[in-house]
Amino acid sequence: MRERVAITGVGMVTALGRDARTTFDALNAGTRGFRPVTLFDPLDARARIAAEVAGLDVAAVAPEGRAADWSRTDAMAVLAAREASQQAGVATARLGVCLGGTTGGMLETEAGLLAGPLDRIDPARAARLLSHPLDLTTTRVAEALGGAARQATLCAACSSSALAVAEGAAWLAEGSVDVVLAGGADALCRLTFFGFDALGALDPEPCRPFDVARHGLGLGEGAGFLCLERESAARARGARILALLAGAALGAEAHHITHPEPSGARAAELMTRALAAAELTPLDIDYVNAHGTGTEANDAMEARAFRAALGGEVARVLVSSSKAQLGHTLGAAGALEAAVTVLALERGIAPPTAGLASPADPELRHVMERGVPARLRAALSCSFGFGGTGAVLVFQEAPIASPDLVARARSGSDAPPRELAPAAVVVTGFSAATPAGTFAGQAVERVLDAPAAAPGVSAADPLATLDPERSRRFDRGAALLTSLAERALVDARLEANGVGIVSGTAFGSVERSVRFVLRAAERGVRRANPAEFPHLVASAASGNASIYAGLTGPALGVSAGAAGAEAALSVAAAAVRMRHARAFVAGAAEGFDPIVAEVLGPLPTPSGSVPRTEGGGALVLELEAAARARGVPSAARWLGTWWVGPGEPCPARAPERERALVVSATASPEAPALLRRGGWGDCPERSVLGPAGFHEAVSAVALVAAAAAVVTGDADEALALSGSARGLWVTHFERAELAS
Amino acid sequence: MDPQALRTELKRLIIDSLDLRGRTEADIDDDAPLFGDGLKLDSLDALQLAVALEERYGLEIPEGEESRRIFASVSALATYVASKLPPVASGQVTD
Repeated sequence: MRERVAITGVGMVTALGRDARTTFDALNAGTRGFRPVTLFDPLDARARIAAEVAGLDVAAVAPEGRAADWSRTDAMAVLAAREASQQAGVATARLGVCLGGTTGGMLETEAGLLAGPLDRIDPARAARLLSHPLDLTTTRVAEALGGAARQATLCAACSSSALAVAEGAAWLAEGSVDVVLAGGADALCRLTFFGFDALGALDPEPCRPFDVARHGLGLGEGAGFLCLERESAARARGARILALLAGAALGAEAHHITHPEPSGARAAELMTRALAAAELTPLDIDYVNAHGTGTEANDAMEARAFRAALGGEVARVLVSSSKAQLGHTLGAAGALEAAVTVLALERGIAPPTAGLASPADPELRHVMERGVPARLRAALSCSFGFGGTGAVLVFQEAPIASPDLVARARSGSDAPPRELAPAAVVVTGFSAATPAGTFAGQAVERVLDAPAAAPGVSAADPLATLDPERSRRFDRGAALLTSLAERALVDARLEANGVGIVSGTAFGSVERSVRFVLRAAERGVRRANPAEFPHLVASAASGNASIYAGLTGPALGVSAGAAGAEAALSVAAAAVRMRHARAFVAGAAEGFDPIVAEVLGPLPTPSGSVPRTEGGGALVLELEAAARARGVPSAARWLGTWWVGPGEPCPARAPERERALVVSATASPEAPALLRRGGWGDCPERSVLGPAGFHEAVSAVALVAAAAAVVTGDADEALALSGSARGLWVTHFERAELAS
Repeated sequence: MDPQALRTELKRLIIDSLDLRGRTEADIDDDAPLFGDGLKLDSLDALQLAVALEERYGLEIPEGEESRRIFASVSALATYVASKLPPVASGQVTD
């Protein structure tokens, strides 16, 4: 059995309160957070209310003099993460921060957009326009906590932060960190408010999940964080354990961008898998915190899924949705509802679905009006989102620690740290899109031999390679990623079923988001493009690729600037080790975006500034044991991906095999020094700068080229480098002969 | 407006507003269902198409059962649009 994860702290910032206790008490009292929207003018939107966090002063949370760059999302995230961290009372140098979100500082980006014509942008306004990348918030949380050894920023639409909690647990199992602050944060913004309103998905009245009178969802905002530790470590330090995270299941329906698969079969399968991962059965479950948005499509699907997954127990298990009180907080919802579930177990109170008067599914055991005191042994927290993404977390009450148990844990802690020896992960397929074309398998070698692309030359039109009917409304980034994923899977000889996808994007779908917000602002919300909105979330490219290619493993985006591919690789590796999918497509793709090109200008390179182009790369990642079992003859074993600050030691071991290769996507002067320090200084070096084009996904091409060189036998091991003078990303592969 | 010209114009509007890349007006049968079979459009497309029609012709598409009837086919849609356009006006109304 895998070691369970202890939750030793929770933090919440919501419309009901600025801390977890106030929020949880207000939930149980039946208080509802909906009020008229004040953060912006709702224009002609049908809905006028949302669950806003009242009285939030960003300047009071941001460090002195930094408030102008901070977003509302940053402030809420830092408050919630601090609360969780303080409650846990644990200090460690091996801290991980894993954040889920959907729109980051979009509210501030919108203010920059609406401040005047887009052809006259001064630097201050340009900085405001770039408030939205989600990883800015993660960095601010890490800084507020005194620095993190590992961080990641995930987007899986409305299940984002439930995936962040599961990913944080995977890091603990991997052994890469000892404590993880995992959570989510999203401020209300025009993009999501106008978008859901244009879809007709907002209830003009406070929403009523599971009620016959449900008319849609009500948006909210907030942040939620959980402090995760290995149970043994928490016991050893005598920490108060609020609850245990016993298991999780993640997946995608590969069905439709907005509609859940109506039978609930896919959601039920996730619940069943989560129970199996936790080694529990429906008999052990006493409470379910539902996704419960208040839309007919979600609630009816979810009720069917509960009946299928819980069987006869559905009449006994208490169920409620916190969204009738907190609003749908989108990227924050998964973590906030996980925190609610943890407190429900700890305090022995099942919170209600406020506003539910006439259940549409009376055979479910709804908690109505107020919280109900009850011993809760174990509970599910369910999250679903656009693109068919889903996550089910299983929490369990923490047994009272007997003196014996504590003593045993303590004696264990005196021994050297247990070597967790994470399972080996290999790359078995790859593809890259460059100005010279799209390559997969052995042909990827040609990437390194291609001449530097002429300025402005891009990869072939990514949309032209896809079936037009199935790729409707894809932007160029989504089309590139889809085509890369399909080719990489063919190269790996894998069927899409059960495979997940993690893709990095630096900025998301900027041009379309801008167009959407400006159109709504200028012509009214009722003239906004409803069908375009679901394609604007940072996980849309992965979601679209999942639906197009039939990938039913978790589908998510990661935000890490120009290191999206590296971030995707390490997120996917942790997830595949937790068996969240049998394999992952991991990579990054950037479609050409005229607004990014306009606001950021040309990319600086050693040979002068060049116009941005597009492209990217994808790798198929799976457990070495799985690849061997299905007869893969040779693969590239992933030895790690690390970020290295200037002057720091090389984290990759020195080359041990005869033919070692360095593939570089950086012109940083730090790179040669790092290679010398690490014993790689004499190895042949190839650069993808130039041949790969000029954009934020160039490092994906370097990763693909390095893995390809190892698999095809050109090298026995390879190092891929990317980054800047501020720090370098190092990824190490070695050849793995799998045929026995 | 000539009924045939209106139907062709509506087909163009459907192709453009719903991103039906690779399709031409000739691929869309006047009487084929727009939703379900036929063009296989869904409720997201219905919302988008309603916005596009409101924008182009300045008319309101009612919700519910009536919208299902209006969106049954290009012919049905053309009949509805023609009934709402001022009798002498031709071409598009811009706003």
